[in-house]
Amino acid sequence: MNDTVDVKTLTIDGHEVSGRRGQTILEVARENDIEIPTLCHLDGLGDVGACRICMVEIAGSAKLLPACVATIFEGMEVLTNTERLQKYRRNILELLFAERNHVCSVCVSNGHCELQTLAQQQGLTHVRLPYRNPQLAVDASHERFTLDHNRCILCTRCVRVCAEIEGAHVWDVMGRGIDCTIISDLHQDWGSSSCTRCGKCVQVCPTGALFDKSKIGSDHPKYPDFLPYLNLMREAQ
Amino acid sequence: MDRSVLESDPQRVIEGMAIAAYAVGASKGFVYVRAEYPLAVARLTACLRDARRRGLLGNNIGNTPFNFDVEIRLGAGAFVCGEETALIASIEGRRGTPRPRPPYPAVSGLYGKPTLINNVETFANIAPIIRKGGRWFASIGSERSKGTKVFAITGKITNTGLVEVPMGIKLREIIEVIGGGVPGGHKFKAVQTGGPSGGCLPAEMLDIGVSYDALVKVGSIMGSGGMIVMDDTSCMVNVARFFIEFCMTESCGKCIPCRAGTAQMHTLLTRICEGHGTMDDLELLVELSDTIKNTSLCGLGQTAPNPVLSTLKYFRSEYIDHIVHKRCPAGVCNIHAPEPEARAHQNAGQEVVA
Repeated sequence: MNDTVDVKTLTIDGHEVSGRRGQTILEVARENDIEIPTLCHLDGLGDVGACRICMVEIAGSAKLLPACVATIFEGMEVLTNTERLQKYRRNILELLFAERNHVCSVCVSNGHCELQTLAQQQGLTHVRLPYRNPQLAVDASHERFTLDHNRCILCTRCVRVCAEIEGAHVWDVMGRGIDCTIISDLHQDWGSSSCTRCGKCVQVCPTGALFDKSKIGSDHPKYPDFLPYLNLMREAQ
Repeated sequence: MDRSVLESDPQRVIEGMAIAAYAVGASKGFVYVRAEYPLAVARLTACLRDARRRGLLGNNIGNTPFNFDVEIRLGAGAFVCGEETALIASIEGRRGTPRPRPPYPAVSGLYGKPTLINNVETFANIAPIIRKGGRWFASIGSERSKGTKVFAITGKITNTGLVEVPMGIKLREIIEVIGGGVPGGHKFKAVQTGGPSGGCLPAEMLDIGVSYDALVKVGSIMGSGGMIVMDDTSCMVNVARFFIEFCMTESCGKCIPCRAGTAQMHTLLTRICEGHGTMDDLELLVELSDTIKNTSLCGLGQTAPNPVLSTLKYFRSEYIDHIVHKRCPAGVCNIHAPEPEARAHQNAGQEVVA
């Protein structure tokens, strides 16, 4: 294994592919049209490897790796869709559905929700775990947007886009474990926070946790595609 | 364990750090101590002041070009900050959450710089090894785990406290000879090794030699060197619930399996303890444990199911007693507690009255 070589060849699900040194498994897979499901990852944001949906198997290793942050090496054999991985993905999604109050039929993001789509793709048909039904607040103090903690999955995309792209760092995470919540500034109402009203967090939110007040009913498609474009234009400057 | 070293012999740790710093070419070291250990902090502070005064820390140590100084950082009471990447984040002033590795701290650690990060006990071992040689150290212990290990023995045992034993010693020797056995005419039931996320081992396992790999093989860990002895007055289902509760409240909340998974396991175990569990719940527990163990981001989640898996393996009959026979063999669990739903209604009623 020579680490000075810039091009690495590897196999993903049996397909022979190649990538540049330092690329992640996810990047190489997507360049080659191999789909690995993700949730906290978003093109254009720094990765945290937190949702564990993109875990993949590496031949010769008992340890699973998150494809969004694990980098490729020469001769790597990646398996992205084994039965074991499918089971773990469904279990993780099941944990999310039972954690807070995800009721698709009354959600503004019904039909445009990444969590919903992922659950459908992964074949999650029912939840066996007891629903936790926590009593969570809705912050509607902002003049344009609403934050509904009931639908938050703590992917921290909003935290990252606000800190990395907008540079305002209004959002952060408070608390520990199951009690974690997203907060604005020092845990004050979103409306009275230092929010710049740019709306990037709303567009990157995968669920209906952050949504635009001006839209009616469940017609809330989100457009996170501006991110890679924005990054590209900033780099060009 | 680590606390006792910092309180009784902080010089040993600082010396080990200085040697390690010299070896890797570092000029700055940090000791991360829990603020809950004020004596350790006070002794360490005094030790550092003394070392600087004697020229053992600072610039041009021993008239050589070698510079090294140590700074103390106080933790704010999070268990997960013992995980190396969370600890580094905490020193940097950020939220104490782990991040995926690689990159390992040796490549990109504190403030993005290559960092050597080790446990207090490891650094405390350095000076004697340098003085007496690696062969001397390797002559103690078992084939793959060398040296000695400090255990903190507690629970239902005659002699509680800290003991330093050679690796490879039998668990039975630690508990029956050094610990003096279980007092009060009670019967030994289990020993939990490695802190809150270690496994519970029954009497049949007492003849294994204590080493890193042997403990993992039987479903436990060496971990921090904690050793909790339990007798026949302990209910193993309740014990598993207790430890899962600890891991649940200490989970940082970053990754889903650990955050939501430990909470679900706690709910299921509480159900079983209160006599409302089903055999399906046992299967769910095993499946959740498997998912959490294999997909969690850091060691906390990866080891959190150990108490449950080990008690399910060695004390399965106690789970069956709770679920099928609706009885707690040790008489610990309040097995006829009202169901959670009924309880919610009760509370709601009370609120209305108030």
